[in-house]
Amino acid sequence: MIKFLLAGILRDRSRSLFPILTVIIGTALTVTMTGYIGGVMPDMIQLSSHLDAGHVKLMSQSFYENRYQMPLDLAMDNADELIEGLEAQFPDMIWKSRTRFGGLLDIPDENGETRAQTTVSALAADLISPNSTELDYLNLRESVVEGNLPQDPFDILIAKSMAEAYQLNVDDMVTLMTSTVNGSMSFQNFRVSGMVVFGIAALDKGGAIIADIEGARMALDLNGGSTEILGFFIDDEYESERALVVSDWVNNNLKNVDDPYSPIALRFEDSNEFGAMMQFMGSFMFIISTVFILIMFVVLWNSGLMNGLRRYGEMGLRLAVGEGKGHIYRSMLVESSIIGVIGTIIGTSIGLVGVWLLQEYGIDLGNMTANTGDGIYYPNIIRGKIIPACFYVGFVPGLIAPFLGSLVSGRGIYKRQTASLFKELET
Amino acid sequence: MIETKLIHTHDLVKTYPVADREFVALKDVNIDIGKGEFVGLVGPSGSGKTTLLNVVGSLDIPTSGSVTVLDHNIGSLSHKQAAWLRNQHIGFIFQTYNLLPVYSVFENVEFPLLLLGKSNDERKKMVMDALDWLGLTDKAEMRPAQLSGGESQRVAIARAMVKKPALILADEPTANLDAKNSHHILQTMEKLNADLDTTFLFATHDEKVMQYMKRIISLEDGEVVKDEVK
Repeated sequence: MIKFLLAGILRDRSRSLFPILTVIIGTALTVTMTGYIGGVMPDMIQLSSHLDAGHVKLMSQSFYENRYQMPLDLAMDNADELIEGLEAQFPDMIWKSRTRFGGLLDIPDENGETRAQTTVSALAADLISPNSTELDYLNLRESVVEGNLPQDPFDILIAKSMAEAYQLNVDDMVTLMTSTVNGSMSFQNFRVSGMVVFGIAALDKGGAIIADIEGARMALDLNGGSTEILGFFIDDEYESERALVVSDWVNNNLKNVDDPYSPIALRFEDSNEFGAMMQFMGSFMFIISTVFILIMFVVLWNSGLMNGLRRYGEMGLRLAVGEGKGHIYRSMLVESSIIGVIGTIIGTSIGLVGVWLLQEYGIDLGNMTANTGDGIYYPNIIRGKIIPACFYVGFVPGLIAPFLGSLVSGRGIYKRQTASLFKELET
Repeated sequence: MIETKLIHTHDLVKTYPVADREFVALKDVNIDIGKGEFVGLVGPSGSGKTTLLNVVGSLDIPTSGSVTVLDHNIGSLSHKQAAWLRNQHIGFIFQTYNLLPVYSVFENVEFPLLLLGKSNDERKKMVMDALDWLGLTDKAEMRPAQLSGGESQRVAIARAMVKKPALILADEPTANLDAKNSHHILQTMEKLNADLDTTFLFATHDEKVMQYMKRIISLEDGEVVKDEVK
């Protein structure tokens, strides 16, 4: 019987073409979007954790409460000491001090007089100690497009766009004017050792400088301290549960509610808006499947009704030959399942091609992501990824929607009297 | 005298609601049709011929009275039981052939056997026997659209008789055929009746058909007005 139904589906294009096309489009889009999200999410998590949030992030409680102001005076002054303890407690993690601060960059002319000034946002990290992982986390080796990586605590890297705007060259000296951790004025000369292009619009667009942590500490009178400590799993794979163990330990053992300078730990998804975003992305496959099931269901329901009207004659004949209403109804469900399988296989194949193209070539969304802030970073070229879910996720809407469509539209068979269906034969 | 009753109706009434009143399609119909009979239901349009065929074919149920076909009371059958009765024992032939257009001649004739759950080999043999019997062997792989009207109706007959039913119901089977094809079809059915002892019940107002009938039941306004054995 299946063979008989299959032959009917394949030969009667008016019965199968539109439903199969609907399923193909729905599943192809589902697979493509799943692959797209499957590629974007890991990139986003890796970039954002490397650049901003770590897998676990420690700040002083008071800094955390005022974190959007980046209050340097609320930094942890015992960061190095804390790191020693954390390394002992969690040997499978790498801990790094980072300090974020703002200032005014004074750019002198050939006589040493001020030629230009601009506000800058600075990130200080361990750039020059041997085997520092920060060069990798910040992807600096690949990002330096001119000059070299810092070799000295008073070397800095600046964004290429800023260098061009202020006609800065490698080896130029600049003065950073800022305030120390104690609130007094600070003036520190730095040498521009290189220029960077991250390929991340949110970082490349503005006045960003990257300094070595030790140079920054000297400039800010923050010896042994930092505004943040970032923890990374050695395998660089973020896992929420593992991070929770670490953050819980810190919050239970190091946090002291009576000491505003004692640390508080946040998991990656607890920083900024990551949690809501990860939750949404985690539900994405469910959401996208549900949306496509509903859309395809409505389309296929209507298509089923139209088809049913066209096939009343056939139904009448089949009744006359001795097929029961239930059998006809079930055979329509089997037909829709066959259509679902055919459409899903083709749609999944097309979707996989789409994901592969996204994986290979990506989409440049740099302009759209340039203004993303709050520590959420995307690469300019957003790429999809063929993940295992791409191979099966299309089957959910691809099989359910045609089945539901036939389930509802096929009810017409039961609503019409057998004799009425039979009469269609004569019309 | 009927030896074996295949069809028995007793005070059969069938009404349909039309607007705010009941339209009486069949009124107190009492007939007995035996095994192997070749019977015509004749009468003008609206006389109740097709309604009687539908009730006898278990596609409809009586409003009152009773209809027994092969010892099955049509009025008390469930949908499933009615389908089983049609599947096992009744074949239909229609005015418009009603072949499934996307299937070949072979597949159209094979369809009732699929429902009967016959094996692949059995089906093949039974279909080829039926096509051979109707002279359609060379048309087996053709689609209905490639056949003439006469050939299409022969395929419809093959589909009706392939399972060797006890009863074949034919509703105006020659209405779309020319005289030559009509005679050929009727001769074929006459032969089928004689060779296989299959009972035929025709609904017709075609004089060509009537001349082949061995018994003619005349209906007018839903009532049997004459029952004549030739």
